[in-house]
Amino acid sequence: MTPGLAALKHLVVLMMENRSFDHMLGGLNGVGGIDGLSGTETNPDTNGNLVKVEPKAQYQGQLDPDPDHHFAAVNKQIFAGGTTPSMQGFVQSYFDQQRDVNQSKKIMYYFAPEKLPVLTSLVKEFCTFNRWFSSIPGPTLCNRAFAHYGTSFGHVSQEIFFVGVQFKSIYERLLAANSSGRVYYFDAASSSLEVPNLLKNQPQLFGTFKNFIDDCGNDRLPAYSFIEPNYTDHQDASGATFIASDQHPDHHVREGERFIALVYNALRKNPVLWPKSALLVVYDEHGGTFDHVPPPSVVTDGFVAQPSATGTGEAFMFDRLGVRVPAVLISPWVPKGSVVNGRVFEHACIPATVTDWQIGLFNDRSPREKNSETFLDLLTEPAPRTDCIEFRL
Amino acid sequence: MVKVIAIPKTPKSAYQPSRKASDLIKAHLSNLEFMAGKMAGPTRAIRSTKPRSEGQAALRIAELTQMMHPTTDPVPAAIVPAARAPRPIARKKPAAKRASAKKRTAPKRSAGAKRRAGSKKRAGARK
Repeated sequence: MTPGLAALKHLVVLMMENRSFDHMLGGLNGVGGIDGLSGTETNPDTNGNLVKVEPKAQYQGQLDPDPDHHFAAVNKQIFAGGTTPSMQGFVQSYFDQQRDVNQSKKIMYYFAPEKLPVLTSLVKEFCTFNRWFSSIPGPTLCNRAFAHYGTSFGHVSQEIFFVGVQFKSIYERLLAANSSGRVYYFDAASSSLEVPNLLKNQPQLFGTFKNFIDDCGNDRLPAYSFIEPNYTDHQDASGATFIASDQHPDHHVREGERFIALVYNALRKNPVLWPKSALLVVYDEHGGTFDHVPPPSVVTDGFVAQPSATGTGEAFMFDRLGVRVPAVLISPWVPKGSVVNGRVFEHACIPATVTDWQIGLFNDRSPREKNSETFLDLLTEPAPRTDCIEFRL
Repeated sequence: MVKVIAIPKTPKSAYQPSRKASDLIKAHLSNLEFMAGKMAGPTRAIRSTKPRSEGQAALRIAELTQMMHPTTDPVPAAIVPAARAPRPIARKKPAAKRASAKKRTAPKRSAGAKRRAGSKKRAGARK
């Protein structure tokens, strides 16, 4: 066991919304070995012209309408009507929504690194995964299910499906093993996307973001914390406004940056908590935005989604992953500016890692999760670093 | 020495609660209503809503979350206008009784009463 793993008492996962790896980090190509964009990647538009990637992504107002990321659309983005994953169908898929060629080209835009000072700094400071994929080529809720259950129980869409399922969530597993885990959602007007049945049955597993900040300050974090950003623009009693911080198009990306910084600072600024903590910042899925890396095959999930559910006319065996997303592991125990290569990660790695770390041998989980990578071996520094950045908000 | 990175504030214009509720927000609300309905049991109805804007959805999400997770920090009055208890399901009367009750209580309508509010304006607009 590494000193970092021995010291680890708190793992925090922050899951953001709907941005691909290249959309957010493509501009960092080559920095420490990051597999981003060379600038020559293209997709054909509906007139047959090639549309090149460009660093023109804006914080808000550009990806409106929200790019389609339901199963059939993502299938088109990945396969472009062919049989091998070419990543050539993003522009044509976005065109389908408004029949507007100029708008469809914007799906190829990515952020210039200086526009994302928080995410870019964390990448340069900590450990980035070159191959972290969404679990399903589909939308939010089924992908997030993999982070909690290690499977979506055969679902590829947004419907509720957690009632009476055969595998326990990571939070219930931890509770049964006398460990501790909690979902911190932003507030009541944002709520938890994850597990409404747990909200009903296990309210002790939930807290708000204010509770998270308090728990960090008082060194009372559970072993495992899952943070949900604010999903809605809303007000409080005093009329103060809360801007959605999930980065879901068309929410303002900078507010999401600030939220990531807020979570980081909550850990970083408590000198007792910081050396015994690790934070994973990861995105649930790509939200229709371009990425150049074809998703790989994977151990089947053991479930099948029927053609009526996929919308493609074909069943889905859960034997390949969705589009690549940004993922950064943050801890004073990870080497500065490191990049993970040659290993494939996806959201089932989260319950797999937490289970291995807190529970040990545990058989009653999905085949996908059992075969997933874990990531705490990346805490390889011999002593906690003392040079880690801070953010001023 | 620790490097401190200053992060700019988000512009106020980013706040757009009247934007159309996304598919995700609609699914989120629908799932919460489903689970709140299960929690409320067979004697109470959880109304199903279809908010158009994100701000409207946030109001309803707050209501449902507080119902399911009462220990959440109180949602301020500005967010939830009034703590609304689930409405009890009205027991249906047999069809025959409903018909006779209607005969007894329904007032006779005049021709003018049939016109719905706003219909005059619409008629005027056509001219």
